[in-house]
Amino acid sequence: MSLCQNRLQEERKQWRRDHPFGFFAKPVRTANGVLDLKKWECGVPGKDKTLWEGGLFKLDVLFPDEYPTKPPKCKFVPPLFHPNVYPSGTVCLSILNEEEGWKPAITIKQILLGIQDLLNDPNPDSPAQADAYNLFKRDRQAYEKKVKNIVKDNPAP
Amino acid sequence: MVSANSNGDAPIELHSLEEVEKLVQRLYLPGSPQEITRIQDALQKIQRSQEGWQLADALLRSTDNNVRFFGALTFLMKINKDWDSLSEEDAPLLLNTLIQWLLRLVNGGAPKMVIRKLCTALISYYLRPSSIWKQPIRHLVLCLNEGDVVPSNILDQAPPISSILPNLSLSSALAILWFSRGLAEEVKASAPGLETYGPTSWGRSFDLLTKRLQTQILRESIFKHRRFSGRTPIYDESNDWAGFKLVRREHIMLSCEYRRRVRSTCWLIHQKDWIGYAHRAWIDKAIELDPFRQLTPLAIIALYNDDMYGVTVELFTDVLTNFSAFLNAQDFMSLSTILTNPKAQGIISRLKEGDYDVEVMSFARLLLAYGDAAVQDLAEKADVQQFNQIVLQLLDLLSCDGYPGVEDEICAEALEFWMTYTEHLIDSLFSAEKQKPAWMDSARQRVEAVIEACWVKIRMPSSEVAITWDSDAKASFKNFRRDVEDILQSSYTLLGIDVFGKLAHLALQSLQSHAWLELEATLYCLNALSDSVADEDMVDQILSRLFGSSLFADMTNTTNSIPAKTRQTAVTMITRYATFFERNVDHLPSMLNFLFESLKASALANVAARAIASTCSTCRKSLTSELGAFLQQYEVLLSWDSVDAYVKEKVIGAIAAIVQALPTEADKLAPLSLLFQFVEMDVASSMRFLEASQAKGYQASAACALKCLASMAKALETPDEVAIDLDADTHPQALFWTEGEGAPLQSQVIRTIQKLYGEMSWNSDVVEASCQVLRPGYKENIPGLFVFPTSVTVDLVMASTLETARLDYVLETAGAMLNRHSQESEFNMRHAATSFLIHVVNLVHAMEVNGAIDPEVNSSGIELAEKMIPRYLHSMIRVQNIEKLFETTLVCLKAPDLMPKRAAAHFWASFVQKHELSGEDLQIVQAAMQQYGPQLCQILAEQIGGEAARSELDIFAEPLKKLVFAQPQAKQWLANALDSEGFRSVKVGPTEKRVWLQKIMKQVRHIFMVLLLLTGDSSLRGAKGTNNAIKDFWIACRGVEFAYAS
Repeated sequence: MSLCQNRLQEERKQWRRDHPFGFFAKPVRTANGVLDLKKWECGVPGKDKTLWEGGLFKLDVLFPDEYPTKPPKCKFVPPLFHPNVYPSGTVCLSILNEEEGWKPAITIKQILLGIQDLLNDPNPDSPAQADAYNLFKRDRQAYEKKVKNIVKDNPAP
Repeated sequence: MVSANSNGDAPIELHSLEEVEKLVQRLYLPGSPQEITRIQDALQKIQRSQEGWQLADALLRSTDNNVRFFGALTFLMKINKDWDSLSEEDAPLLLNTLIQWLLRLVNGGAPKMVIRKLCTALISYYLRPSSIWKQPIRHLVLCLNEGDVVPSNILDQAPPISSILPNLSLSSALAILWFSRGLAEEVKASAPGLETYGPTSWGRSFDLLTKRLQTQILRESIFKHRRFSGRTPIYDESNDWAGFKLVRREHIMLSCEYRRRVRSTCWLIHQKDWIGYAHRAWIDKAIELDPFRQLTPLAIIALYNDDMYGVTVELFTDVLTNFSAFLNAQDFMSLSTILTNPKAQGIISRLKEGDYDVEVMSFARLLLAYGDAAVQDLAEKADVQQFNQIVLQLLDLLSCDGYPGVEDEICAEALEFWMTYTEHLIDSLFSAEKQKPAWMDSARQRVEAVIEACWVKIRMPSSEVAITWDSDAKASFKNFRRDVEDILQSSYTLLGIDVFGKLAHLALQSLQSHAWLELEATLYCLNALSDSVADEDMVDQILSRLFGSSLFADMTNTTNSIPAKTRQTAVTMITRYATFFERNVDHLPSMLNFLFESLKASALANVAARAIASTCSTCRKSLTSELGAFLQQYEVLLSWDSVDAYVKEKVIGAIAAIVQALPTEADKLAPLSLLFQFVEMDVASSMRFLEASQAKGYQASAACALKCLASMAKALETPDEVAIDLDADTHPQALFWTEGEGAPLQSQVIRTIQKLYGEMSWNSDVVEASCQVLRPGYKENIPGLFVFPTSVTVDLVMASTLETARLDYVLETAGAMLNRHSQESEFNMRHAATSFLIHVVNLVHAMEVNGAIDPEVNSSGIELAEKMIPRYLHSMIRVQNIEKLFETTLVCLKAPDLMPKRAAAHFWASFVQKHELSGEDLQIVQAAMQQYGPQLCQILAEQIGGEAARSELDIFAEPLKKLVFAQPQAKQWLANALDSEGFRSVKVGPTEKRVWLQKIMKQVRHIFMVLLLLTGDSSLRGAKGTNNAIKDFWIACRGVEFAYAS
């Protein structure tokens, strides 16, 4: 088995053994029932006592062949209203950037927790979508209202 | 002889060996503490004297065991404290003496305490840094076997230890064990805090243990004296049961020492960041760990010992979890015996009764760790009694008393095992090339049993119980339910439609018996399978029975005291199986009744509203006949105090979706008019709030009205599956909404938007919702109430000012209209584009005048302009003062704000390309290029030459590549820029600059040609090499310290 596959098996084992409350993460199953370890469906809940509380946001995590040398790509499906999420849904986060903070030691759990942190703590220095970024900078009240609506549309079960 | 002195009393004088012996004997007799101290002082003094060595030897000859013990102790003390008094020649002689004494004591049946003390002396001898004694165990074994001291230089020629061990007497074997165990203890004591040392020092201790201890002996000796076969120790050689027990106990003690070693090994590796390192480390250390493997049977024996049970269980849980490869098949068998013995069964019974104490939990975890490690055997060898028993016990772990994550602490962990088990089955099923494995059917039954156990476990608590739970308990329980969803989905691959059918049957049973929480659990399970079920016919049959039952009627009936959660899960079920209702419209009325009823309960309102929206959207065609009832229901709903904007928005959208399915535009007029009247009610209440000076209500009602309109507009979009009539002009009702019967309504809608937008353009909700009413119409090819003339958007955009909230969104809407409005005439679109550009230029100008640059307006304005380049360049270049926009883009390229910078880069990447223009248009564009090209190159050179942040380099790469390819003059412009004063980096010289420029020119053109030839794609997205060249140049300009590994 390749390093990538080995590592993903191990990640999966670790995740099942211990993962934070309210999150989910599992490799998708192809039509014939076989697991595709390189594509995971994950859910990140909004943190308690934040605007995002009560929401559950789904994202696909796609692992390249070079993983863990290269970071996975995390993509909210559907794209999420957030200053650091590209219109395509791709998350812009330093630890997911090969040239910035990515290290092969970073686990899926850390990534998802990092994304959860990012939800309520956007990084205004790396805007990825105009919509949320502009509202965040210009009209915080409207931004917060919009987030609350998004939470309403994506409630945690 | 010397005299001894102590504490004021007269020192004891010792003149002969007899006196010393007597004093030793007195030491072990009762006496006052002062007396004891005096004796000790006297004895210590004589021990430390030069004659101490001989004294030790002499005392060992005594017949009194206390005296002999003291003799051994004296050797120990001398070795530890007076080692330096020995000459090089003395040391081997001392070893000789010590071994001789060991032989004599062992053969003479000396008591354990004396032999052990002498062993300790030997260990101390061995551990002296200057000791030259090698292979002490091997040496001692040979000596004990020969009954005499074997010269150490012939050790290598002696037969292998394994062949000698079986011949050793019981007492000799015991002595070896004592020695080994003592040595292990000593090594541990001499390296305290082993765990805190780095791997190197750990490695040294490790060497001592593995290489020198020769664990082989231990293994061999233990098997000599008794073998464990299953649960019964078979004692085969000696009749001395006491001796046997002693040996056994010693082995266990020894194995305990090793256990600690092994544990620290695990600890070390476990602690290491397993990623990248531990995997390797484990492979690298496998050789070193090998000797330990031989000790595993010893550790397993410790599981039979009550005192050591707890720690040993923990050890094996650890090893099984982290290093199951460490154990061999025999170890697994031994463990399985222990895991199924009566004690184990007793523990499982306690667990089932809800006893989660430490011992019970650690056993359960051992069982699970074993399960994980041996999952293949457990699944495939169910005919092996022990495996079968273990599987049953693992099933038991799913049915212990209490709620999962609340009282029941093991259930969630057990579920993880069963997930692994299920996946093993699935993998086997798909990897079995020819036919399914023979064991599959019985394994499947286990999975069925798991699902059944889970179904019981996920039941919600009664409300009395639920209020006692804290948030952690709630979260754990919820998490468990989610895990059950996972296993259900996986199990479907194995169990197929049967599991679905069984669950549906259970639901009907619960419904009959009004077991609402049980019903909730079943519906929850059915929901989990919604994405898995594929066979529509079978699924529909099963669901028809369920949905055709009293389910919805019962749920709607408010006299039933049904828990809100059950209703909620039923609502969720409707959304999960929305397509079923599309295929089976008979069930729609009762289902929708239930949903509308649910809107009353605040806990259910949102989820029910969403369900209504999705069902009506999916089943729109089947619901047209019920439209009247829906409109009535909506009117009723609006009369409730509790209804909020969210519910209104969803439900009005739901009804609009049904309207969309009506065959003609004329049919749609009446219901849409009615819906619009409902919206107008919010507009009216907004005005009332205004009159009453209630700002909050004023804004909220206005926003609600617009959101409802937006929701209607979205719902009225033509569904994707409808064939598009491309020739829109021939549409029979093309003018229905603009000039025909529908025109008044459309005008009313437009007026409402304009009124609210005009009054409240400072409110972001109002602005956003206004834009959202307009946007769905842009992509429509057929007429509709919300397919407005372009003038509506143009007016809205033109009415915006720098004070307008969400101005960026307004400009984005303008761009969306230009991109997608397919129904309008070219003339109107050009007019709209020109208007938008004029507006953008005015906004830019206004910002300049105000002296307050808003980066958001800049970026959205530039983005809008960029979108126009491909189709409306002709209009763009004729806009008055357009140069202001060009200048702004250049400023933005240099400014710190990222969004306008990106927009400006995109703008230029688009503008510098070759356009299909001719005549005057071409001249104007070329003139603009001549004017701005050098400035653009100057900025690009400066930014790439070190001014930009590293993360911004990719932004500049795009316009640079396009420029180099499309504009022949780019090379000269760039060369000039690199040589200009504005280019500040002094770290690169003319040569580097020239080389870089050549590289860029060459790469871009080459890549472009290749791409064009191969794919016809000229986007240059694949030009990664150019980006690297840009990065390298940037590093060179900044200085190499900015380079970092990537």
